[in-house]
Amino acid sequence: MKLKAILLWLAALIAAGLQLRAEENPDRSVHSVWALEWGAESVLDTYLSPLRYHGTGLGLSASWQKNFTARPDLWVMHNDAAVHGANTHNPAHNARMFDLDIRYDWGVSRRFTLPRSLQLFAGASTGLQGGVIYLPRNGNNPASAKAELRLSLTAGAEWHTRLGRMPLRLVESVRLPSLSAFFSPQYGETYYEIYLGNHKGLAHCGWWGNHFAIDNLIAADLGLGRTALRVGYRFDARTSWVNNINTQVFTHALVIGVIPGGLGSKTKRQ
Amino acid sequence: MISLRRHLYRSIRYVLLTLTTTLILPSCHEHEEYADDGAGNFLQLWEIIDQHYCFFEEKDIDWTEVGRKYAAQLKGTMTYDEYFNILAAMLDELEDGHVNLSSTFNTSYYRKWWSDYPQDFNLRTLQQYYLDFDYRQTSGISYRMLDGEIGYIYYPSFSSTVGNTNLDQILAYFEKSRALIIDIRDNGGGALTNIDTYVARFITEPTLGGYICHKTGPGHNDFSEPYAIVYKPCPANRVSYLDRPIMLLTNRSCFSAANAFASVMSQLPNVRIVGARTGGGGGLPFSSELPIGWTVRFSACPLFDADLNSIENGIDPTPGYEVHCTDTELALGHDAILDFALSTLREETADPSEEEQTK
Repeated sequence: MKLKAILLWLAALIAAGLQLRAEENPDRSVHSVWALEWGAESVLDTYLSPLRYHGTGLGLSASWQKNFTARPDLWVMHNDAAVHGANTHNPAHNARMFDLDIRYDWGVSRRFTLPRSLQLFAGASTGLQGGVIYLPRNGNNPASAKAELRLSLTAGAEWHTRLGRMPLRLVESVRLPSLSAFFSPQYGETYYEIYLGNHKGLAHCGWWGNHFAIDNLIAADLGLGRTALRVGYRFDARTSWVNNINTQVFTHALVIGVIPGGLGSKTKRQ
Repeated sequence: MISLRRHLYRSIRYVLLTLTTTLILPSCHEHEEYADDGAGNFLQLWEIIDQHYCFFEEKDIDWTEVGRKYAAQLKGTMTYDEYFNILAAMLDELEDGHVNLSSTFNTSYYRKWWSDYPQDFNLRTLQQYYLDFDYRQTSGISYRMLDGEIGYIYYPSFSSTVGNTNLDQILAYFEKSRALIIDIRDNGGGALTNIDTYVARFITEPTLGGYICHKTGPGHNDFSEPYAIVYKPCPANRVSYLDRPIMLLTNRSCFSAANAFASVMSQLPNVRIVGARTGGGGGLPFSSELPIGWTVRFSACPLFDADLNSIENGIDPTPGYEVHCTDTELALGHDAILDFALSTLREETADPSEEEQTK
């Protein structure tokens, strides 16, 4: 009987210890968001046309976020990937231009936990982005290829609250590519000349002055138990001014996404 | 509660600041956009050509003066046809076959580069009297062995992609030929990459064929350094045509890629250009468009021969090989250019022992 009592006490202590350890261990799970993005896009690329094209864009984005092993309360690692396409038309509506864009960024952010369930993030990321703007009506200059390797500043804010009894997380996230190496053809250079081997002046060092871009997301995440729904708005701008070629791509997109696993333990803790 | 409000206000300020930044900063690269009206489309067209056209200096064109001249012809009320004709006439001042204005009802085209010259070619005459309507065809190429074991190729358009395997077959067919005639008369051009495919069969080492350059900015003289176009011989497993005479037949309607091909071939020691001066078209064209939706095509990247001479005004026949055909002769079944090439090559390649036997 005594032995049974001792074993029960030991089991209770171990269970209590494990529970304590679990509470001390901050969240180390991967939080992902999958979203469909749909909205308006305007495209100007003077290598192809002096006219600004307008149309509709559709994209799929995914992001994964995980706290670091060391100081998980402070440091967050995030991966962001997106594929995006747009079908645009010229002002006269008699020509179409297509924009295809693929990107991936990996970054680290420092978390600042403020009172009232508010968290701020600041960090940096590195990423690759590539794509093409294609204007079928052109002959020897039908496409403007895009490729870049970049370092970005990132910042964000999260406010965990409730909408009635529903957990709610308001998210603001901004990525500001600040230093990059990117490709651009010369002002009047054909891809035939590039194919021949003339690669002079194609690679450029980008900074805010010649290659300004920003990716800004405002979203509300609604906790629905084991999953959550994201509703948001993304403003994405890609501009460059190099080799006397002006490129401006602006996207305003409605973001609808799912967050498998819901809003996670953070909401529960608060 | 006060703390929460303070955080909220800060958050809202942060969001607004971010939005302001995102909306204002990207607009720093200004871009002038013209209205879709008479003046706007005219100015857009004038500016596209002003900033991108590559032969202003070579052709000594005062584009500002041209703009003034045609701007004065614009009226408050015009039909689309009248308006199109004014813009097209302005483009015709460039005297360039690569320049077109295209609308849904018309495409302007400067034709004088060939219409002011004899045609020097008749396809029906060729097919009926020289090929007997009996010739092989592949990759857009018609070919046949002619009397005297002279191989003959007719290639009417560089828009027809030449397959390496097809060219292997053609040149293998001419393996026993004594000479080769490549006829590109009336070839209006197409893809420059087809030149590589052909030239690779006629050389044994990398060969400088010419130069290309491009505009680096909107100024009339903003050009890059000419970049050498070097052609490489075909791999050993491909069929070459070496050490035998080749004649390239040209007329005034050889334009653009055909003109560039004539320029490259004229550099090769065993090649002679026979016929008439080519039509030119030594600038790779770019395309652009107007707010009204019309497209404009224009020369943007000048091409040069191996001596850095512009090929915009055409390639001359090899000295002593300029030949012309009259329409009457052609109608009667005589192609003077082809006759000249055949008789010259037969004479040059005739086997003396065969001649003895004939006697």
